Amino acid sequence: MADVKLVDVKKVYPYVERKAKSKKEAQEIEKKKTNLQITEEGVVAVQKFNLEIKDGEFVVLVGPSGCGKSTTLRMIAGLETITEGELFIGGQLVNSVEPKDRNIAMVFQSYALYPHMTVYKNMAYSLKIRKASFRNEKDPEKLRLYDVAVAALGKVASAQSYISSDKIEIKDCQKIIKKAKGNAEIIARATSRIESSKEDLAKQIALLEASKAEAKAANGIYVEYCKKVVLDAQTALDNKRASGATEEALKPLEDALCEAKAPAVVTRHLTKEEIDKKVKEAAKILDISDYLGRLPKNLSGGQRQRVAIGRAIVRNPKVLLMDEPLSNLDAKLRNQMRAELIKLREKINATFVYVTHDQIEAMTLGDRIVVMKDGFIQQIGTPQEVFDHPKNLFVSEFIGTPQMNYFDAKLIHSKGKYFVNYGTLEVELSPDKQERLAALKVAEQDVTLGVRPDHLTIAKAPLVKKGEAAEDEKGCKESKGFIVGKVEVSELMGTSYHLHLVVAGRDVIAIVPNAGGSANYVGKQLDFIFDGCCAHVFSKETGKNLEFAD
Amino acid sequence: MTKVNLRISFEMDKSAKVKHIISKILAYTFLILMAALCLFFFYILIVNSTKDKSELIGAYTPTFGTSFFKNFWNALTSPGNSYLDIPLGLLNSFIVASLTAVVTTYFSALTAYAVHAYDFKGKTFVATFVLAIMMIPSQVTSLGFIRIAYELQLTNYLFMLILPTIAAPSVYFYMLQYLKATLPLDLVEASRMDGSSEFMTFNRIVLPIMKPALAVQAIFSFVQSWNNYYMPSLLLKDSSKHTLPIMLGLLRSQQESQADAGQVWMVILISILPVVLVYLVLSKSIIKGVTSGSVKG
Amino acid sequence: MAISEMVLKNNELFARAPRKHKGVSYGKWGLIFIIPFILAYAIFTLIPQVVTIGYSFIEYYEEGLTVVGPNFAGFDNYVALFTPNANGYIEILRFFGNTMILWLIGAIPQFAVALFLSVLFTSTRLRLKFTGLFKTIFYLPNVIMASAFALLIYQVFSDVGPINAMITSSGGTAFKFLDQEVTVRSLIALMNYLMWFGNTTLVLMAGIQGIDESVFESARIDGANAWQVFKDMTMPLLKPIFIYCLITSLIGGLQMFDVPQILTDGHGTPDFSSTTMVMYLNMKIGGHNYGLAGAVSVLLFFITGVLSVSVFRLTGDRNKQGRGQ
Repeated sequence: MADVKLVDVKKVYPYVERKAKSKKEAQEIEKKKTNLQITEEGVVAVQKFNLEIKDGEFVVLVGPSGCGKSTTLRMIAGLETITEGELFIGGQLVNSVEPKDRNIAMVFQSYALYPHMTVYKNMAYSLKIRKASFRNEKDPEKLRLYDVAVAALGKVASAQSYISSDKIEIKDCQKIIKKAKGNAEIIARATSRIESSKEDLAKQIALLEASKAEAKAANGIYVEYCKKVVLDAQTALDNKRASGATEEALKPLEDALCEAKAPAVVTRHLTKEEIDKKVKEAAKILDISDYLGRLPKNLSGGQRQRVAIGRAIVRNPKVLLMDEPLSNLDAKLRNQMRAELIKLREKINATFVYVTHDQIEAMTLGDRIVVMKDGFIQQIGTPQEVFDHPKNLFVSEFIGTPQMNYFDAKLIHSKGKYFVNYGTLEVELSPDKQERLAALKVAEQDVTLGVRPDHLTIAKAPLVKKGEAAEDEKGCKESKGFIVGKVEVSELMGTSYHLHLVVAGRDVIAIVPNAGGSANYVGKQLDFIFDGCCAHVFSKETGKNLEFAD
Repeated sequence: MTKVNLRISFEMDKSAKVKHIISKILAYTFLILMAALCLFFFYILIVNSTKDKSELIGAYTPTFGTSFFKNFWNALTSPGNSYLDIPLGLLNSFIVASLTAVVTTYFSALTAYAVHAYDFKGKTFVATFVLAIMMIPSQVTSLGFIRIAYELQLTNYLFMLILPTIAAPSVYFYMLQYLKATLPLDLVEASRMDGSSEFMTFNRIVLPIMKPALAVQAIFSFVQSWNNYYMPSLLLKDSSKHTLPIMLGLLRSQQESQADAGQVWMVILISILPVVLVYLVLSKSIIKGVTSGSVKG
Repeated sequence: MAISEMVLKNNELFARAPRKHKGVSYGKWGLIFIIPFILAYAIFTLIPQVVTIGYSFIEYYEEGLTVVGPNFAGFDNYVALFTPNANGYIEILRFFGNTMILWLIGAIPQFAVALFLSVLFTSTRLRLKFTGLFKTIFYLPNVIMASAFALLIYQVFSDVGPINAMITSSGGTAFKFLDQEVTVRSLIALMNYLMWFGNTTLVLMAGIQGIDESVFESARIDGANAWQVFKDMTMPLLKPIFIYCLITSLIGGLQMFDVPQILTDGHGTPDFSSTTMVMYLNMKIGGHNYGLAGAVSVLLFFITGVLSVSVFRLTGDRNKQGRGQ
């Protein structure tokens, strides 16, 4: 397991202005247009992404197509270069580290299984071509000194990366100054950036020297220790031999000598048996042990997906990346695999980063979810948080099925309390909402009122049995303080009804419990109310949830 | 491409049916005649190579003779043509053709993979340039090539015929089309995640997937190299390096003073037989290769 | 202001510009992998091409035992190329004409028959059997060594060959096939035809099979007979591929060497009527007249270069057309 940290990660693709040479091309260009921001550097696919993923956490990046979630995942994987910002895996800066050295594994949307290899070979491939590190636990002190030396080397590498990063920054700023053509403001800003980079550069160089010295010292200590251990064992052996001991008696001392000579960490290829063991273990976890001899083309979609996951986990990666793994499966299989993924999480120790466009997957699988749109993070939070307290209109409409209902309402502040006014209906907001709004000194304004379908309740219960006179119709005509809507469609969902209403020209969905009996709501005018804790007020201009600051 | 075979069955009355049968008969007749034309000369070839030279003078009999092995043996040891070492020619041709097949297919696949899977500076330039020059024949540069080889004293080396085939634009193009249709790039990414180096990925993942294309192009380039006459005749002057086509040219030159006609027929047969046999065994894949390569885009 | 932009504004309040690090890039491997191709091309094609062009501007030939040159000669070689020779005709034009005629005599039946066969084989109405066998037989001559084929034809049609044997034994006088311009050219055309009509048939077949079947079906329902279907449906839709085949055949025709060379032992008998461009080039190289050889090569280069570019344009258009459909 390892934690993953993204600091100000940004991805920019160079933008090439394509002049349409024919009407057909113009249509094609129009089709591919996105809402991504275009700066002078290019198209910004991912904007300043900041996220800290804890060890063992399951984080889901969710959003519509083109929002940048896959790009972010691929940056974590190392398949896309990070234009700006830093990525840390297990505390180590990995921007320039190749994917294979990041201790990660990835499950691709299309599974990307090697078509000419059997399932077994697909899973064994990565084990076969890599070397693995084996730690010699028999001498803890040696191991400890080894780790210290490696850590010191890590500091050296880190200082070197920062030095080159500073140099890149300085070069870029110099380019900007050249291109600025005398624009004083730009030149001033660029110069100040150069100054701060030079400062940092000096610091980093000093750090580099110090780290180099430290590394050298640590390495020296390690080497000395190794030599000492070997020497001790050798002398012990020689002494024993000199004292005329038998071969049998000498044996343990000879073994001790061999052990003493062994390095703290051995990096070598895995043996066939070791590979076999790992593959069979992973196959067992994923229930694919019966297919090990088959080729991918002879497997069903679901089986292929398991093999793809198997290939990823066989290496015990610290971080497991999944790029929309369930989107190619049919609905039933998808539900099945969701449950399997939850079970998988218990069986293997890894940090999961999962990308999907399906908010149901996000809500059920994630410890935390990151909602993205057009390259920007919209909200980060647990599924419950994001569901209960969406930070803006987009998040509120993206999360939750069926979608939240929206009304044009007014936020009123009277007698020191906040109310939501919609038509004749006036609802006092719950205490925690009052607090938040008051803290931000939110003024009275027109708002978009959001209420989830589950939170709309029928004011009167017009359980009309077929044939009976509709008592509610009379009642509705004189109702005040309700949302009034006519039921167009009623969907029976087992324990509840999904009622599709039209309220003031807008489509609204309300979920009402099935209280038994065959209630027929279609065509009826019903009154709805909602509680003050379930009303979300969004700014009409910005779409932001007024309860929260940025 | 699926052929939706909508069989529109309409009620054929008698005259239409007769017309249908007549057109079928005509079609088959034409096909048989054409096939006969194709095979006619080879029939003569096979028949005549079984005849002793004495039988070849005078009236022509389309029946097989009995001197097949005598002619065969003579052709190989060529007592009449003391300077035509047919087995050596076979060997030289075989070396050049098989090495060409290997070299051309491997490097064309490698180059096509580079263009398909990577983005690098000048890629579009390289790709378009290769397409544009694809059809320019090698004869236009033959003068320069031969002169350079002569000045550097590199004539009479078989590898001088093999090395240039590293750059074979038409084979490269075929491989590129094949890759575009069969290699999704996330396969390459998956193997990067697995820890494979780029070269390892090409050799262990991409090449196995390209086997059908490699096979087809290996056959084509083998045949083309085996049959090649112009360049080898200019380059290989030393008779110990002659390939079969060169020997056939020499055979033609000394026809007037020819001693053993039966041998000549046999030499022709020996020259074309290997490729014909390979062709007959692999005809299905060869024909598939021709049609798949021609449907571009 | 949109939500996204507001979020951006707030994030920009960070004190420092974020760091930029060098990422992982694989592009360089693409360059590495194409190096063998580029090197081989440069060494074995590009440089020789330059040298060839260079030779065309140089006077360098042998007169008897003396070697004249290499001297710079400007455009002299080109002028000499287009100067009539001792017999009063301009060799290069004559041989170019020969090449074109030889190609044409073979190409006309080749394309006519290939077109006919491709329609025959893909006809759902006729549904012929044994098409696989016929295809195999028709394509067979393509893999035959052209020089062997030519030697074979020489043997068959020689004065003492089987054909003449059959003629004499049935009472006629031996006909010198290899001395008459018409017959020599016809034999060359016959060989070219046999070697290539199978290939053209297969390519055209692939083209026809690429046409949506329902086009033919609806034409038949509309009442078109076989000829009308061919004229109005098959031919227009097949045109791009047909033209592509035509041009590639022409480029191949320009390179014609093996067949006429072996058949006539390089002499193009009678009277150089079957000497092709490449045979001429071969003569010049073999005769150590490198200046003229260079000029001929450059000429060939231009002609095939223009044709090659037109093929390139054609395949590009076909790609776009395919997607549009």
